[in-house]
Amino acid sequence: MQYKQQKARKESVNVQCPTFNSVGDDGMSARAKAPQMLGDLRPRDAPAPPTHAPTTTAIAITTEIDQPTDNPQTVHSLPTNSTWQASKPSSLFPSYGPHVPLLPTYHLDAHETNKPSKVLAIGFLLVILSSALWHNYLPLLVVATYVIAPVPNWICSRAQSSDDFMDGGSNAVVELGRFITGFLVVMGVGVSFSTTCWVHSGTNTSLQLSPSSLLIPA
Amino acid sequence: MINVPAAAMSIAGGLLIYSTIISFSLSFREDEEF
Repeated sequence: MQYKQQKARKESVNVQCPTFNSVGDDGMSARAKAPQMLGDLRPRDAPAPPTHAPTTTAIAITTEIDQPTDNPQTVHSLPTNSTWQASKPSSLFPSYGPHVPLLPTYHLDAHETNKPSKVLAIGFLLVILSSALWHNYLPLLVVATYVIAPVPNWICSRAQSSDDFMDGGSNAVVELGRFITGFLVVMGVGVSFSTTCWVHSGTNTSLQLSPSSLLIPA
Repeated sequence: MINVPAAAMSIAGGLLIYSTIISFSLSFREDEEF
C-alpha cells in the first residue's frame, strides 16, 4: 500500500517534470522548480525559504540550491516531516535538498555491539601477519588448533545430556571432552612456542631452561 | 621454523581468537537455561 502511494507520487512528479533539465511549458526546468516544490512541502510553522530568482543557466541554480540554509531551525525541522521524506524523489533529484544526514541511527548501535568481532578480527590479523611477513605459514596451525579446541567439549556435553540427564555433570565422556579441549588449548600455545628458532638452536644457554626445550631437546 | 616475533604474534592472536570464541559461547549459553 505504501509502495503504491510512493509509486503514484513518483509518477505524478514524472508527469509534472518529464526530465530533470528540460524546460516545461512555463519556461522553467525541473531543477528550477525544485525550491518551489520544497517550499510547498515545508511545515507551516517553519519559516519560508529564501526565494531565488530564476537565472538562465541551470548550473548557477544548482550552486544556489547546494548552499546550506542559514536558519538552523529549518534544517532541524525538515527530517521530522514525514510528508517531505515520503515524497522526496531521490532518483530524480540526487543532489537536492538541505544538507541533512540521511544515515539512520542504527549505525551507532552497530558500532557499539561489534566489539567482540573487532577483537576476533585483530586476532586473525595478528596470526596472518605473523605467517605472511616471514613467508612461513606454520603459525596458521595455531588458528586451526584454537578453532578445533572447543569442539570435543561441545560433542561430549551433548552426548552427556542425551545419555544421562540427572548425573550431576560428571561423566566419563564429559571428562574426556574436557581433557581433549585442554590438550588442544595448551597445544595452541605450545606449537608456536616450540617451533621458534631459539628453542632448537641451542646457542643461547639462557633460553635452554624453558619448558619447551625440556620436552623437545635441541 | 618460525621467528620469535612470529611466535609472539601468533600466540597473542591465537589467545584473542580463543577468548572471543569462549566469550561468544558463554554469551549464547544463557538461552539454554530453564
